[in-house]
Amino acid sequence: MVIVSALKKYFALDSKQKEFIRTGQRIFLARPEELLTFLKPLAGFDKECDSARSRCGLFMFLVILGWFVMMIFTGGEPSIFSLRPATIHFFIVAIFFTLLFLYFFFRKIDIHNNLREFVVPIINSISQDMNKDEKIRLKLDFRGKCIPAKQLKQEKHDPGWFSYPKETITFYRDNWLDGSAILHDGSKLFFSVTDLPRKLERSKKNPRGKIKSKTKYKIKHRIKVGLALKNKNYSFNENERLTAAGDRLKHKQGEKRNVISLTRVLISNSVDSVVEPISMLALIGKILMSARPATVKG
Amino acid sequence: MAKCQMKKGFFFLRECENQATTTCTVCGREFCNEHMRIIPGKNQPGCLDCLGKQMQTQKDEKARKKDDDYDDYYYDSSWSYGYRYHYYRNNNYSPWYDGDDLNDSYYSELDVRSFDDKEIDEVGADDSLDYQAEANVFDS
Repeated sequence: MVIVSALKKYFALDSKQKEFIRTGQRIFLARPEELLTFLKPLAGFDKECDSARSRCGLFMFLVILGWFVMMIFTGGEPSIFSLRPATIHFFIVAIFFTLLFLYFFFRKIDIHNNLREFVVPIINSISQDMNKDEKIRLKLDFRGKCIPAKQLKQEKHDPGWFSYPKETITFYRDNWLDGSAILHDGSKLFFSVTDLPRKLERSKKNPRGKIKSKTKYKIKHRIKVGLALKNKNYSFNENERLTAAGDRLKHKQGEKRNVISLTRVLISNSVDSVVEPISMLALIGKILMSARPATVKG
Repeated sequence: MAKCQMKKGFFFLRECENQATTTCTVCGREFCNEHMRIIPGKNQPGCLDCLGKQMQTQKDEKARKKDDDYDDYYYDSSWSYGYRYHYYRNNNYSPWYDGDDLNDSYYSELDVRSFDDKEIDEVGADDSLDYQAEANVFDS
């Protein structure tokens, strides 16, 4: 039973993990193993939580449907196992409100799917290339994309009382992932994902005089990856492959390191859309494919 | 038993230094405990490479059941071990190899790059590990 399993997984989380669910943000400086020990149960719980929420919704629908069918077939006087109709109605209402409570509970403790479908696989992959004692610096912020604290600006087009269409466009900036790590070869890796949601709320009057409201989202996911490669290990060649997919390249030549960063922008139209791990791993791979073994001084 | 035969890493492959303890029932190679798991449904030891590849195959075939046998491993290292082959193939990525034993036929399909390909120039390489803050372009 997925609802029971989700509750079990939630109550099995430790206080710090529950605090992360409650606050939605945390800064880590930890070894990859510690980080994954913290994040894996959250990812497992979140997956179960999503299934449990949809199951609650389905059961609520079935309870209402069953209640209607029962009312029709029994003429409003249901009788099961010689229970009185009032008792049956009480049980149905109790089941419905329990499911409703669980539905809102699971919604409240839900974490954005980017945690389990992006952050955990990325940390998992990066950690394979780190020495065990090196630490990852990681800043996560899953408080929500369109909260007042993340609002950049708002534009209102209001023609006045009872005049339509009215339009409000709100811009947000959500830097939900930011981190860095030292890789096995001594290169320093930086990575971040910033979502730039644009929320459009439009109200208009249709020809029959009804007022219709719509909310639309357009989200730019800005994925940024940087690698500081040691000059003694690598020589770096700027080439067309780096910017082939429209990725933006920045390159700074230092005395000891070459710092290369690539930025990719993806667009979606839902605040629930998930960034695929490949979009970040591909950028890291592109930078490393443009690196050649350095000329040895000898 | 000999050394663990796993080539660990994602972008950089390297040898595992641990001693092997178990034999993988799928590929027959020997591995340490860190690189072994129990294959779901079979209750037999399998290496991360084989387990990861099975997970990827299952995903590719869209044959994931509701109660996925591999659920416990999805957030485990076995995911990245399986995913790396998929990644190398689809992104034309050649991993760096930092080691001296790539005779294992299991990895023959990989197009690895080695640091041994360095050219020789003049004396005086700077070995400093310090990161140069002024070279950071990741500040905006």
